[in-house]
Amino acid sequence: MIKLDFKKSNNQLKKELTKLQAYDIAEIFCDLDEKEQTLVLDLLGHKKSAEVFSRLSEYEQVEVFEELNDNRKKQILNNLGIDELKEFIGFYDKDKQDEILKYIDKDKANIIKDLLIYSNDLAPSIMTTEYLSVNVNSSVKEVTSYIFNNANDDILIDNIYVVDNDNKLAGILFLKDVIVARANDSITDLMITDLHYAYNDSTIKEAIQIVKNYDISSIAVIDHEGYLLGIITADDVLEQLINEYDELYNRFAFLPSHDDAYTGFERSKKRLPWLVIATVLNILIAILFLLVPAFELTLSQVFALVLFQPLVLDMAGNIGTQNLAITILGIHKNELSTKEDRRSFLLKETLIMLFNSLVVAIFGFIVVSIFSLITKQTNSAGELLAPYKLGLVVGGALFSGMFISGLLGTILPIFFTSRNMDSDNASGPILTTLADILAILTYYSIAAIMLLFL
Amino acid sequence: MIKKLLSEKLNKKEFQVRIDEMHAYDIAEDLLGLAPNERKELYQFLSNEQLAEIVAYLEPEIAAGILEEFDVIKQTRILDEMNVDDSVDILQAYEDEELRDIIIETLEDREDIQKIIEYDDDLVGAYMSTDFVLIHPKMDVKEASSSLIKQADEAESINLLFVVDEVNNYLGAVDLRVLVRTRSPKLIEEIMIDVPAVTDNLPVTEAVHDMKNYELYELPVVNSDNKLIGFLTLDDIIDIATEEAEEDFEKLAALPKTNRTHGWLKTALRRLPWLIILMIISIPLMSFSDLMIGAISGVTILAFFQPLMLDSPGNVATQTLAVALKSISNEGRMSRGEIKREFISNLFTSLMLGLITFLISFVFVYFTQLGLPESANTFTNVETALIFSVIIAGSLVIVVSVVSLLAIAIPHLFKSMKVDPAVASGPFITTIIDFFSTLVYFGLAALILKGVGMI
Repeated sequence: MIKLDFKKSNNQLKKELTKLQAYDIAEIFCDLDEKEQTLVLDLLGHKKSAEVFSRLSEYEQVEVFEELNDNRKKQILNNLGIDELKEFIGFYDKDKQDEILKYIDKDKANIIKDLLIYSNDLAPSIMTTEYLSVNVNSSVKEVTSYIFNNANDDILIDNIYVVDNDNKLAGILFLKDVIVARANDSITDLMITDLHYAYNDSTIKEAIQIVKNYDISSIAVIDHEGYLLGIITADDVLEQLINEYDELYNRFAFLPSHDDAYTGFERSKKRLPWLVIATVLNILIAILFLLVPAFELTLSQVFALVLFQPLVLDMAGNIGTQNLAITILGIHKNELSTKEDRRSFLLKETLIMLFNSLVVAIFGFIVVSIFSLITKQTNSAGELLAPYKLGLVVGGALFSGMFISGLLGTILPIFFTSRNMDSDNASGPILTTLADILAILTYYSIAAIMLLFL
Repeated sequence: MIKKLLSEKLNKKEFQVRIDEMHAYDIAEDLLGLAPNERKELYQFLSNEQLAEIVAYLEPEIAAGILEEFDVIKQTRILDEMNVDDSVDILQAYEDEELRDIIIETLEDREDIQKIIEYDDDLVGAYMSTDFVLIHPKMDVKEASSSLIKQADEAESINLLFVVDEVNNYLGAVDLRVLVRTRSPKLIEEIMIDVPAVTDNLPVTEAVHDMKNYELYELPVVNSDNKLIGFLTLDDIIDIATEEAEEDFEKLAALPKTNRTHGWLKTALRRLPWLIILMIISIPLMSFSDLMIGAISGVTILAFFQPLMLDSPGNVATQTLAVALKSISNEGRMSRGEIKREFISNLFTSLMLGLITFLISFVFVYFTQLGLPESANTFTNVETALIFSVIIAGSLVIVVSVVSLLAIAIPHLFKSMKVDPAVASGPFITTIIDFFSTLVYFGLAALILKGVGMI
């Protein structure tokens, strides 16, 4: 982490700041007091101030923005790239958006308004309208001077998009090829026509996949008639990709999104709902078991069942967690999009679960039998229990509990996704609680049958 | 696509034209679906350059398998057409190491390749490219432009041009956008900017963060003497970031790295070790519980509430663990403020959960008096309800409020012991917490019940 020394003269401070990367300044910016922040923005100049602003996190941007005076708001907003500006304004609701758009130059504001229409999970919501495009009939010389005149800092010059006379996307030029081309080469020969693009109704995920697969710096976003609407650049794709995986990771641990932005108290408040549901469900299970005479009777006669309860619960939970993770990841990577894929996935996972539950169950049988033999477990009447009986109860419960829980871990997210419900969010807590109920139910059922009636 | 193209029986030239229109990634995807004889037929139509481009899009293991089908000279030719970072990936995946070493000896870029192949595959050096555009600080922009034109064809990516002095010390970079709009006379050092470089022996995850945070398309790589030795490209970083993120995710669930091509039995066997380990660490828990339950034997209500005591703290701990692992992987450790926030959060959560549990269990015990020891008859309903809801809710509050410390301490402990902190997966932490919660729950129960004379 860098440190700024505000005792130094403004000139020295300015020198230091110009050397620093915008991201590094953004990292410490919110720790500065208001006076220091103003000074830093003064010294940075418009362009770099905007750059620093764009590197702040969502809630920091909102916080900092509120404190700026109108003049500064204008400067910063108008120096942001189109995609950065759109992202920032997207944090606000409709009324506030209009208010903020007033600070922005008319042309830019209109572009932003158009972009804000697209829903947040569609490709156009992360595109920029700042890109280089040339007509297919231009000469290499014209293209070169066009690049030279338009190469501002917000624009990707690696890819130059080629449009035909109707303004429809016709091809793409790589700057490298333009640089080594001769003045009389024709654009049609230089350009690549094997194009990769997203449609205005493609999802962000699809767009990321295209950029990733084809190792390209940008892709075009077009409508279904072929008109070029904007481009998505690879640096935004990297950011988006990391964000999406972060979200996936958080959801898997059933953490709410943007968790790191919250204070301790707020965190608890956001996380509580699912925890409360899981806790209440667990209490209800306990009550249910107390109310079923057969279970109560079994336990009071063979209190040793308590010893293996955690084992049965944990193992069922563990395999469920493994399968849940595998399935969520598969869905995220679009590997389970067709019926055929889902069927073969389910078949393979079922075999894996059968095998692993069986191995663990046999292992559990042996361990518990030996354990009861050594510790001489008795029933409430003081009679010695046959060790293999306890072993069989635990082994049987392990097998059925693990298998059912694993199956749930696989089926729940697929079910939620095929119903277009937000799968990752719900399945975690539901799964652990369901798995618990079923594991403990099979445990006491098998125990009741084995120990009471046999 | 390719299948159709092959069935059209085109001559070599026509075929070449058609194949040129396709992206190498698509051909690579199709290639795997072809029968061996169809593949052979396709190879005849392709130039070494095309083959190189296609093979580079395959997973390294698969690519190596395909290359090894060719004779050694052809393998060399194809590898020579590739970017160094791609050929290193594939060469590392060669099964026949002797053959690999022979091939490397005959490659044009053997020096670079030998250097890169020695890096561990989680270090920056293993992923770097060496085809960059170099310019010098005292060059005029015009001179730099013509130097760029000469180097551009070989270069992998040209958004940044790297500036070095006569002895290859890394000085900074010039943004191509700035170069093209700057008019001569002006020296390169005047338009040069500071672009942070990464060192070759740093973990590659750090490079991922640099690339994301600084929004770069190329990230220069230097050795410990600040000599420029290569650079990372954004497309490689995107692949690495994906892989790392998947790994983090899988580790949280105690999963080995997934490989879709493995059959079910192999996959099952790979997942089994963690399950067995988790089972083995629960064995001491059995003996431990055996010691604990002696006093409270027969009090079935306590047994039936145990799942709650295991489950709720487990859920809370998993959340804190996820936060801790993310911080460790991003910043090396969790900050003090972050630990405090997690602790406060869990403290509050524990009070809320405790309150809910207290209310429900109080009402339940008051009205049913189920699962209590016989001696409970001598107490009033309110007394028994109070005793048992205090035991249950009290243990829950204690356990939930303290688990965050375990979920934070364990991964940090692993890290300081140079064990991958992510070994502390959700399932692992949950099992460890079971010990603690059994101790608190049964301990508190025995203490209180003995205290009031119920047992």
